[in-house]
Amino acid sequence: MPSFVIPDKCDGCKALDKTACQYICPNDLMVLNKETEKAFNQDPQMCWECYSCVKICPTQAVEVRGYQDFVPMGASVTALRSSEDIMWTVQFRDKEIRPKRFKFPIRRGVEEGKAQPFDHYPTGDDDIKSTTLMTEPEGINTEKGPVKFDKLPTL
Amino acid sequence: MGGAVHVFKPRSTGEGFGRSWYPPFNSGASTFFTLDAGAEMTCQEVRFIPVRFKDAYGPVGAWFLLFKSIATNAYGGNYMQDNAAELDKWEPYGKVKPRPANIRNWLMMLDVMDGKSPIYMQTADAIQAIVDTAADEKDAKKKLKELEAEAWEDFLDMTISQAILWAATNTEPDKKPSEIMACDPYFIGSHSGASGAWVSGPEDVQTDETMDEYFWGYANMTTVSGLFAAGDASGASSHKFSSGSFTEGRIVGKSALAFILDNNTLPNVDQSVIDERIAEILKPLDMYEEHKDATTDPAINPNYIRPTQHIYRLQKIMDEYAGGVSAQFQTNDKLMERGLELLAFLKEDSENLAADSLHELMRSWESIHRMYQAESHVRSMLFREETRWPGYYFRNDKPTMDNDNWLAFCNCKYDRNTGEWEMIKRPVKYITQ
Ligand SMILES: Cc1cc2nc3c(=O)[nH]c(=O)nc-3n(C[C@H](O)[C@H](O)[C@H](O)COP(=O)(O)OP(=O)(O)OC[C@H]3O[C@@H](n4cnc5c(N)ncnc54)[C@H](O)[C@@H]3O)c2cc1C
Ligand code: SF4
Ligand code: SF4
Repeated sequence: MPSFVIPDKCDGCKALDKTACQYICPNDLMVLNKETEKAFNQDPQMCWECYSCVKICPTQAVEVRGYQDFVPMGASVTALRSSEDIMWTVQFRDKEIRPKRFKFPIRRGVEEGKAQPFDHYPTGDDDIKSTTLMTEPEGINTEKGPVKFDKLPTL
Repeated sequence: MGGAVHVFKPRSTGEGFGRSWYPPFNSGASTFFTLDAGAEMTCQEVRFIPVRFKDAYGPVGAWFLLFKSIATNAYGGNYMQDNAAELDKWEPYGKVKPRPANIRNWLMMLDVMDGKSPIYMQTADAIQAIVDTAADEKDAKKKLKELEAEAWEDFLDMTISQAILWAATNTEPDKKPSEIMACDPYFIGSHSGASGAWVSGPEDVQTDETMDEYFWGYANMTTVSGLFAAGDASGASSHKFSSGSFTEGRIVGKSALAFILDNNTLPNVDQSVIDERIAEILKPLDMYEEHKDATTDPAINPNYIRPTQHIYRLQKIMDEYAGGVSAQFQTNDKLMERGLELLAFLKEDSENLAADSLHELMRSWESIHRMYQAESHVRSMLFREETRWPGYYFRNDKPTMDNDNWLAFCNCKYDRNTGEWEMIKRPVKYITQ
C-alpha cells in the first residue's frame, strides 16, 4: 500500500483547485476520488515511499505502511514537518523497544524566502561567451585550495 | 530528465516493485529524446549497480566513510581483503583508491557466488569502535546517542523505507549488523554510471590533441545542433553526483543562451508535423477506446497490450538476457542477440499499447522510453567485446579486459526514420596526466 490516507482526517483539500498530495507526488500516484472527496494512491506498486505526500498534507491524513512483500507488520515511521524542523517518530515492531524520536532542522540558517542567489559575490565577467559561471572566480572559495584526491568518496 | 530505472526487473516484484534505489520517476526520457533526435550517445553499456542495505536500499556511504564500518560475509570474512588478488585482473583502474564502485560489488559478488551469503554491514562493531575512543562513560553515552541520531537521520533524509525496515525487523544498529546487497541495474550518467549523450566539452580545458575530438562549439551541446544535455542525461562523466549535475546544468544554461543569441530565429515546424506527433502521442488512448469492448475484461484483450504488461516483458527480457539480477549480472553474445530478437517483438507490439487514462498514457510512453534505453544498452554491451566493469556486468564469452582494442568510448546513434543503429568507437584522449 505504501502511502495510505486516513479517511477521517482527509478533507480533500477543499480550498484548493488541485489537492496538495496530487500536486506533490512525483509519480502521479495520489488522486482524489471525486465521489468520496478523499484522496488515495492509485498505483501503490510504483510508490517510492518518498514521503512527499505525507509531509505536505495539511491535515496529516497521509501515512505510510511498509511494503508487505518484504517488511514485517507493526512498525511505523511518522513525520511532522514545520517551516523550520521535521519531527520523526520511529516505532518498532517490538513494543519493548522504546520508540525513537528525532528532530532535525530542514533549513540551514537561512529563513524561508530569504536566500540570496549570488550571496555577496559580484556576478563575474558578465560575458555570455566566457567559460566562467556567475560569481566565478570569487564565489567558489578556491582560496581554500584544491580538494585532496584521497578524500573523494565513491558511493 | 534524469536517468532510467525499471529497465531491468527489480528484486522486489510485489508492492516493493517501486522501491528501487534510484527513483522510478527516472523513466528513460533523457535517453529516448536524445536518441530520437539523432544525437550520438556514449557509454550506453555502462549501468550502475550500487551496493545498499538489502531490500529497502538505504545508503551505505555514511557507514563506510564516516563510521569506518567494514562489510563481511556470513562467516566473518572481509571480502575486500580476502579477494584482493582479483584486483590484478582489472589493473590499472582496479587498484585505484578508493576502490571503484563496480570493483567493490565484484569482490562482494565473488563471495555471494561462493555461497557465503548473507553479506553484512558490521554496524555494531563500527559503533563500538567509535564509542571505545570516549574519555569516560558519560562521554561514551553521548557519543553513542550522537551516532545513533546520525545513522537514523541518514535514512530519514534519503531513504525512509530503510528506517521502516529497521524498525519492522527490530534492528538497532549498535546491537546487530544489517544485510547489504547489490541493487538492480540503473542508467544514471551522474552517479558512478556513465551512460548519456556525447556532448561537447568546454573550450577552456581542451588540449591541441583533444580539440578535434571533444569540442564542437557550445559546451554540453549534443551532436544535434541546439540540443543540450546535463546531469544524468550527459555521458562519460561519472563523478558528478548532485553538485556536479547542478553545475553542469548551470553550464548548459549559459551555453544554451549563447546558442540562442547566435541563432536567433524561431524554428519553423510545419503544422502537419505537429498534428502527426500529437496523434502518435495519443494513440494508446485511441487503441483502448477502439477495442475495449471486444472482451468482458479490458485487462485481457488480444488486440492490445497495456503498459503494465509491456514493462514486465521488457524487464523480463533484460533480466534474463542482458545480465539482470537473476542472471547475477552475467550475459554473453548469444544471450544478447536473442534478447535483441525479443526486444524487436516488443518494439512492434508497442504500436498496440493501450491506455485507459492519462495516467496509463504516461506509463505507456515511459515504457517505450525505457525500451530504447534497453536496446541501446544491449547493442553497446554487444559492441564492446570485452569485460571491463565486473560487478556491473560480466560477458562470459569475453571475460577479460582488452586494453589494446577497447580502451575507448562505445558510442551509438539511432535513425528514427530507418530504425537503423550505428555503433561508433571513439578514442580516449587525456586532458590531464
Ligand atoms: C537515495 C539517493 C541518494 C543520493 N545521495 C546522493 C548524495 O549523497 N550525494 C550526491 O551528490 N548525490 C546523491 N544522489 C544522486 C543525485 O541525486 C543525482 O546524481 C542527481 O539528482 C541527478 O541530477 P539530474 O538533474 O540529472 O536528474 P534528476 O534530479 O533526477 O532530475 C530529472 C528531472 O526530470 C524530470 N523528468 C523526468 N522525465 C521527464 C519527462 N518525460 N518530461 C519532463 N520532465 C521529466 C524529473 O521529474 C526530474 O525533476 C542520490 C540519489 C538517490 C536516489
Ligand atoms: S493533501 Fe491530505 S487533505 Fe489534501 S487531499 Fe491529500 S490526503 Fe486529503
Ligand atoms: S510517498 Fe511519494 S511516491 Fe508514494 S504516493 Fe507519496 S508522494 Fe507519491
